[in-house]
Amino acid sequence: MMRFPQQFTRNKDAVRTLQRETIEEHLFSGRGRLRYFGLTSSALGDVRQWNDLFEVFYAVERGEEGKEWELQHELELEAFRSGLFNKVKLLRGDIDLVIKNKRDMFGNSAPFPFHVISLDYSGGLFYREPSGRFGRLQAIAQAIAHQAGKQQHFVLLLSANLDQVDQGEVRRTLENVRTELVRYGVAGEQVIDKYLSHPRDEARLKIYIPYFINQEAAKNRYSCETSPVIFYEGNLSTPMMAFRIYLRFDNRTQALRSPKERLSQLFNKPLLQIKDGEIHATMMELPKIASDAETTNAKQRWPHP
Amino acid sequence: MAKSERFAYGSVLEALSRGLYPDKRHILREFVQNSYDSLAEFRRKHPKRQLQPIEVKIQAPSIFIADHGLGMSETEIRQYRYLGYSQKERAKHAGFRGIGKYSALAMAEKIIVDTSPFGAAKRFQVIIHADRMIADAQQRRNRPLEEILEENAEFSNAPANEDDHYTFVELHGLSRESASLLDIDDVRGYLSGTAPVPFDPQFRHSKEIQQKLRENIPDFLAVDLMLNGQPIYKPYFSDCQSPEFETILYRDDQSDVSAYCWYCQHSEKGQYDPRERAGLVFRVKNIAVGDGQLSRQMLWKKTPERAFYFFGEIHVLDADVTPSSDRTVFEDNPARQNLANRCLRISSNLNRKAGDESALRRFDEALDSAVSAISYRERQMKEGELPLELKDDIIYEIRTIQDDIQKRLRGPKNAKTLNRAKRIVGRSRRLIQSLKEAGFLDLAAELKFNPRLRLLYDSVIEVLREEFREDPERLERVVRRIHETARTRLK
Repeated sequence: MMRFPQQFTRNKDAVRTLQRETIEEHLFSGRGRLRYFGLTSSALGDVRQWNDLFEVFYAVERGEEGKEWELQHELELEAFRSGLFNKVKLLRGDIDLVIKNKRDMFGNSAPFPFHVISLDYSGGLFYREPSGRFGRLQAIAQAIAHQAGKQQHFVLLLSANLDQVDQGEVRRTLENVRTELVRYGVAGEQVIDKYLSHPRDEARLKIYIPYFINQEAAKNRYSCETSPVIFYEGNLSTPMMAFRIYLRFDNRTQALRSPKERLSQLFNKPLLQIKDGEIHATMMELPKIASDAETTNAKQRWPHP
Repeated sequence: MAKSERFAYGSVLEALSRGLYPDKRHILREFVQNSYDSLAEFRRKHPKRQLQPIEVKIQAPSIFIADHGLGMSETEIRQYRYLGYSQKERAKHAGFRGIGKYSALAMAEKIIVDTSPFGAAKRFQVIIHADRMIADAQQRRNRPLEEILEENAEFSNAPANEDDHYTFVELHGLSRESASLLDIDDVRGYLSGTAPVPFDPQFRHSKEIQQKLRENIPDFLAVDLMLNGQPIYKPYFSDCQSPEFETILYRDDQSDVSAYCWYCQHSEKGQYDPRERAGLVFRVKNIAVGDGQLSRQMLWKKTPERAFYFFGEIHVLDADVTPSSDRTVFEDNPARQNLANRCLRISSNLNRKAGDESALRRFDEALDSAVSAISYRERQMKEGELPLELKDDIIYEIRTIQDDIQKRLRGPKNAKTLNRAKRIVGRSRRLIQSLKEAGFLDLAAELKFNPRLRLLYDSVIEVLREEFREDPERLERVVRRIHETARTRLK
């Protein structure tokens, strides 16, 4: 049966506009020659919106189990209809496996590095593999490692819904952050308490995801620049979050360094809420932390990776 | 006759899918041909609109063939599921049998066809579940064909953008035996020699040939074709002479044109290499039928190697000349026979040209060696190194060269060769005259032979001359050695 390209909300369009701003901010000089890897949708919304920036889009589509070919076919058809047939390279299979193997399930290559890695997950980020590991987060870490192998600066775009947020994992991580802040003499105890007790997961994920990326980046000699985190309602009123992080490779030293992005920067940046396509900055009634102490202890800001 | 009687059964599918096209690339060509027909139809109906390229994308496990042609109406796409049914006309379309798509059954798990007709806000999809059809035909013996086709071909429709017009085919899940189709270079070579694509803009005669084809072939159409984003052009050889054109009439006393031919001759010696790209290729609706070997077999009864001194095309315009399903040959019928007979003049013409070219090349080679021989003798004469004993032989040698050139001048020649030959003949005449008057090395006089010794020496030379009659160069070497030795010992 014929599939219809996924339809997107005005909110999603606004997210793409903000993502585009991030790409242009960091990669403007490569405009027209950029290489994209990630999860588009069968409607190719982001591909069409960013077409002028990119030379090629490696689009991963797993499809629905048992009829994988349907959505994959739809994606290619949409690319053809949109005049993007030769720019879009379809990679078939689960994105985590494609990242791991640098190939899709039919042996087609995912030729790292890329300028933009866009992981627009329709589900949550906390999917656990049978081994108990967080498969998606591991895949993100692997993608960063692949990029580092080629010393490529890049923009990482992450979108996910708030399904199955692993509260234990998130809280453990925020407690670690608390310990670090205390260690560096930052008065962050109450701030962390506010984040932990906040009724919305968005508050905690605002710290958790950039913190995770910063850690993985530092392991691979990247420094991060995180743009304000976005939250919005997606299709069927699903709460969604979107992260935009620029990873700059530091080839000046072989030694691994602590993340350069300050924790206070992550805490003190407002979130961007998108409602009916409109963008609003909000702190969600979350407190800021004083950044002076952290600055004083600049060399010990983060634990060594 | 009972209505429930069925006349076609499942095994037909297997025969069609496996037996019809042993070379799987022909199946791909079938789909390209459909795209071409759709674009040709689009151009007929909307001549002012720009045609967009046919797109072929190969990426495991699928091949996509897509065009922005006229698209198919609901009726047409429904009929697409039928086997052996086609509304296309033989005279207007490249494909007309309605079996090509089913040849892909053994090649892919699914044939997915999306289409949106021009001017209608509708899109349609047909999915032919080839894997299920083949399994059905194999597992359930003597299952009526109609049931298999009906059960395993889905149809659906949906609203669409009115501006859309396309047909998009995915051959999904290529079988292991079709894996060769994933070799992009091989497919590129095949489509380059087969598909109705334009000439390579790098080919310096492309514009002229294209123009002539447009003028002489009604509805001539070459369409851009992209394979994985790269354009495909007809093959050509850059080391060629200017193109020549020939119109083949159906009969000498009629103006009906049976075929239109162009060809370029090799500007270097001998056949083109690789030969797969050489020779004249028949084309019907600008799609190749066979390769250069077919025209060689049909038209070159003698000196077949000369077929590959050329490359070019014979565009067949006689609608009764019908390509076989796989387009490797023509169906045997009177029209084909007439075409072959009429085209014999092409081969005889080309044979003559190839023969002339060979003769001309040999003439040039003969002039080269003549210049070399004359220069050598001129130099020796100037330096006083010519033995008197060889005077007659040398004059004979130059005269022979002169005669050979004059004889060749009666054969094929061009202006450049003619002028050069005339200059060399003049030079040889002057050399003969000079030789007659020139002083030669007289060993007997130099060493003051007495009459008896001179007689003996002349006798020895006479014997040597007889002995080396067939090898004048050796005679010359021997005489020179005698001169050297005698001077050393007798002086």
